[in-house]
Amino acid sequence: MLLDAKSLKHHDYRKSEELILYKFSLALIFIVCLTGCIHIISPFDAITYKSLIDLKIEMKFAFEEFSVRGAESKEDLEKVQTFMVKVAQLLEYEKGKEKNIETVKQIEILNSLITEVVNRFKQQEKLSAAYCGLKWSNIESAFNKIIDSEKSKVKR
Amino acid sequence: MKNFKDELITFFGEEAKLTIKEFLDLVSECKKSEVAFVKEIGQKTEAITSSLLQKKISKDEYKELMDDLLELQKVETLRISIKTKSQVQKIVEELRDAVFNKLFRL
Repeated sequence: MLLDAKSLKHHDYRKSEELILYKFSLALIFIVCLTGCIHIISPFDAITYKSLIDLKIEMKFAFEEFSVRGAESKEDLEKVQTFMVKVAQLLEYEKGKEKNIETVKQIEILNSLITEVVNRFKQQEKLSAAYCGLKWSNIESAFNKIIDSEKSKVKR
Repeated sequence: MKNFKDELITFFGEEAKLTIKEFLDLVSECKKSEVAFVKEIGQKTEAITSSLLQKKISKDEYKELMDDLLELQKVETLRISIKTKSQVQKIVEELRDAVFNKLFRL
């Protein structure tokens, strides 16, 4: 009788130990699922960051010149068209990444801002200095916001 | 600001006086905002409108430049979304690091 009580107590102890282990395993699986599978946004990309900085600086020098003298030569148009091509290349690069929809949308907007400049240049055959200055101010703001967005991403 | 108001009335005519007042109040409110982006929009609106009044840009260019501000608002909204998601991702990864690389190695 005494042996039975002892064995029952041992059995209960083992049962509660198994329960703890079971709960712990469940918690572990939950943490693994939570942290291992969830990637809600693409990580920081040094290539994107550098491309954005390089392009911003290139455009800054060109547009600062245009905002003094305006733009009307063939070379000026080619310069702006080159910027448009570079933004389009960056856009294609961004489209290739997973969980990157926000950055793609941001660069699509940047692309549309520069396309407007090219279209206006072709249509008017020149751009006024005031227009170039104000347009650059808007494009620069877009650049700054996109660069800041990339900088805030998690570094791996 | 008084000169700016007069210039606007001269450009748009006396009949637009009330609308101009509303517009100027809005620009002034934006410029006083503590939110950096709202302040930026106020300053840009004033600069773009001034250029129109001084006939440095055409009406068509004015519309395009003002439309850009709406596009900038979209870029700003996306920036906030990216920043929030990145913060969540960072916290989750720090938690994982704490559990697997620190707690379980004790």
